[in-house]
Amino acid sequence: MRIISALAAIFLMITTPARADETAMAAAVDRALEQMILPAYKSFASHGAGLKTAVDVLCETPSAPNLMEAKVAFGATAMAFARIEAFRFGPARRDNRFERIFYWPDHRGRGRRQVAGILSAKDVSAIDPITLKSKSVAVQGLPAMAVVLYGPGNAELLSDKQSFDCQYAAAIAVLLRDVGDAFYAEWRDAFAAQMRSPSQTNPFVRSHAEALQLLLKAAREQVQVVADFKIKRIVGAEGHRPNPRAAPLPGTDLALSMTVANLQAVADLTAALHLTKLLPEAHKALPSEADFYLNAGRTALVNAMKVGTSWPVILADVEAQKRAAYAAFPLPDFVDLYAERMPAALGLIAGFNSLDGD
Amino acid sequence: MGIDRRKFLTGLSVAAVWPVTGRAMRATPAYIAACKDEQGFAAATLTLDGGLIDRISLAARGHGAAISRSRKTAVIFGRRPGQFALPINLQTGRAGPAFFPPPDRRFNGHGCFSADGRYLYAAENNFEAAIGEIGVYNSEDGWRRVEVYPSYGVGPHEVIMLRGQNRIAVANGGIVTHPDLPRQKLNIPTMQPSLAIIDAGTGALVEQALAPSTHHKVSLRHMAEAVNGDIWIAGQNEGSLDQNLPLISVFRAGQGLEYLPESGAAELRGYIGSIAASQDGAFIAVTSPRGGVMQVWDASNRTRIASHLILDVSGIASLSPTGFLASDGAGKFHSDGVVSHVVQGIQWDNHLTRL
Repeated sequence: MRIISALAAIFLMITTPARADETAMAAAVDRALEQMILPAYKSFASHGAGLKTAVDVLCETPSAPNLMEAKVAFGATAMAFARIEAFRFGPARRDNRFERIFYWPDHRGRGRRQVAGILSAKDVSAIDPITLKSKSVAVQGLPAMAVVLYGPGNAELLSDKQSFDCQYAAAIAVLLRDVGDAFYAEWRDAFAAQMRSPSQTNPFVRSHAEALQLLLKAAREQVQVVADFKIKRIVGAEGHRPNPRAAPLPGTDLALSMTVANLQAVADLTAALHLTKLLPEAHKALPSEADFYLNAGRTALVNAMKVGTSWPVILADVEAQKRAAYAAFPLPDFVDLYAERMPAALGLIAGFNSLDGD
Repeated sequence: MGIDRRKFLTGLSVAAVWPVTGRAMRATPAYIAACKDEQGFAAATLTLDGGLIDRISLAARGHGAAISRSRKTAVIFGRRPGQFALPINLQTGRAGPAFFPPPDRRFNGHGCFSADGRYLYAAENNFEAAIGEIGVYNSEDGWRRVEVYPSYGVGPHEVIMLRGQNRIAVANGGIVTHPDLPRQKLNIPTMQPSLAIIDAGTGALVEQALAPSTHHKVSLRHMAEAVNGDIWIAGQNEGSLDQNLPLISVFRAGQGLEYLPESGAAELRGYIGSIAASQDGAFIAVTSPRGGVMQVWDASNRTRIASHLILDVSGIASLSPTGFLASDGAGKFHSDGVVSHVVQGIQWDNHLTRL
């Protein structure tokens, strides 16, 4: 498949079709904004507010049901984030927003150690959102909240009113809510307009084609991250041992669901773009081919999850592990297609250097 | 995840050298560049106008090349995280055998030779310690790694030998990476780029310039030395593009870094791929593949004097006393902004190096 893809890409380079007109590309970007991106950011902001409320209730009235409610709210927030994780440009690159929400991969366990240090030392500067914001990004986002809510020391959350752990969780919830609000406001009020209004002085996009390319790149990179780091690295492909601790939010059972949500978000983004409308007749099958790869990966993961929703459970089951490992196989074909054949068929510059420089 | 090291090394042993022109007709190479064609990744030696001389297969994507002062030897490095360096005899076009960094190190894609051509200084990532190093390899002893210097920073990228001095300049990009997580940037919020001037004989730090906190997200990556000894550094912005942070800074001994505000222009899209000085050192050219633009600057007064729109441009090297040759991802060469030669079926990679 890779060889065919490469040959097809070279063919397309030689016989580059005419570019879809800017109006059609503007419409595609607009559909993506309205149907997928802005609702996803709105949802993340909304769930962030819900998480804050749930944690406040837990702090005021510690109990098993209220801890469960906080975990449910946390899971919903994490799943909402999985739908915006692909968009690592624009507002995500301001004020370290992306890393403040999702410090991952935590390659050396630095974040977990820092959070453990705050909890064991009962560092009061961490329970004030203002001072917490000035600390390491690793101690103020979803991974930090996961350690507090799901960690071994969460008994305090069930017993003590306004416990230190809960106040720390509440401070994290404030920052997550605030970042979610800022994200949504900036996309809705400013960045979406910049995506729709390319110009030579626009720092992000000079043409509707560039705006479209930005979204294609986001889709491609998200799928690559899923295949390489959220599946292969966990199941232990290519001679490596399985490593469930390398998954996001270890101990929460959310990693697989978030990964499926990552792929679903890409599927929804590409569906909203409706690239078939932009492609010349000879290449109108490309979106279907891309969907096939994406669906094959996502379906394999969902099938693996029939034995359980956590990586440790799946890795303990030989058949489920095989299904999960298989999920990583079709996804690189999506990446290749979106790196070369799709941009070329749309008449966009595939950009050997601009796509992936150093 | 990357490539299995054993399989990778096996693959290198069958790397082929294909002279494109007949041996008797073989022209004198003027440039070397990494590239990709339908057969895979390769390095190519080129004539002054961009004509292909040798095509040398690479087992993985190549990046920068170091050239010995005698111009008899080039070493092309694997792209970060690089697992090989391949010596090429520029007189015969023959390549190999490849040599490798230690198992717990990776090449970062660039290196330079000592003035006498004996030693090669390679930018390396000590990825478990998350620190930068300069590996010193002896070209007369089977490319044995005979010494290692600190790079005095994280993520060293380009390394250049300063003219008339036994000193190397190292652009420490400031970004922590690990081969288990290829291409992932692990410390953007706290990254600290720097320029280090290092005694090539001892590895001692001669001078260091840290990027100020306001500019810490501009990764310092590539360098060119102007005729007046200024070191021009080209950067890549890892922060928000609407801040228009300057991408070019100039280092002068004892004076630290001066950022050139005009290099924050939107046309560069926060990213410079390559930088080169003209033969006379009076002009500096930079390329931005993301912006599709090549800029030329006057090194004496640090002002931009020209911009040329070139899609997917990245490679840049001197062409004449004052001119430049640029290469792009569609196989084209551009002399001072005008298409001068096309090699069909080839995509020129990040760098073009003058021999």
